[in-house]
Amino acid sequence: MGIFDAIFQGMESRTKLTRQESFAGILLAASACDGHVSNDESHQLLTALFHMKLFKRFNEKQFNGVMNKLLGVLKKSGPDALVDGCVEVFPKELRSTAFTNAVNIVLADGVLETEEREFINSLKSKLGIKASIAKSIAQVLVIKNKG
Amino acid sequence: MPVFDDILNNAATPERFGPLEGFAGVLLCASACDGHIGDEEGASMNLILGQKKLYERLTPHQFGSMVDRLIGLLKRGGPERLLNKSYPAVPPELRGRVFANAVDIVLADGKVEQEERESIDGLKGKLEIDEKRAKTIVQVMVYKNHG
Repeated sequence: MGIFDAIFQGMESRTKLTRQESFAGILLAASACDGHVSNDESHQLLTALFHMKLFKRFNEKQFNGVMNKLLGVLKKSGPDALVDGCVEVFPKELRSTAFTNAVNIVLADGVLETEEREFINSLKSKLGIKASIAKSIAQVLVIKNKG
Repeated sequence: MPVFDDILNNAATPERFGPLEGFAGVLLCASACDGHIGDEEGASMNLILGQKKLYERLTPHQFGSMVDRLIGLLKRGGPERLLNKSYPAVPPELRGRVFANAVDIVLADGKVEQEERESIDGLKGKLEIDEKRAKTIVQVMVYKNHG
């Protein structure tokens, strides 16, 4: 047992994510899943978040705080680990919304990289989205984002 | 014959729309169909158009004049008239795409007013979007803009 263990007892090693953080985290991971965040992707990410009632009461400082915390996790552990952390606390009623926006973000620059395809497949399973619904979502967003 | 008729005859004849004006005109009507263009709806429209390859060849100046011209027509004649001029100029291969983007704009603020419902329904008919396809598109856009 380390000498500080007794003092640290009761303190969580990582603060749990809030609903807002978990939502933004999934979209941030989608933007970054091919190794970099393009301009179009970051635009889509911010537009999606700013539109949400979930973030209505957030001021700029709070919003930046959320993004900084999530960027820290993303840099340290990568997009898959970020999603895992988010899914743990994710509100069930927003699962389809998060999945739809994640697909919209990866399609935003008009190119679908292999990493993005794999990310979306794995996100579908992690969020428990039915295959038929996921397929409809992907089809509609391909139509929407084409050219 | 009034003095300006000869001179203004050509100038006063409204130019027919091409696919670029048609596409943007339909989306502008979608933003304005509840009587005004909300901030979120306006931002969504600019983001959508800015990403389209369709507009890649326009300089920012040309793009700005096109949008100004459409806004002028909208203010003078109202959304219904602009829509009737715009939708026939959208080629068949772009109809699903413009419908998906229009629905996305209408739902961008997370609410759907009665006029907006009617306008989505009307647009579906005008663009001859198949009932089942239209339903799938609307469902996916509801997911996207929920929360």
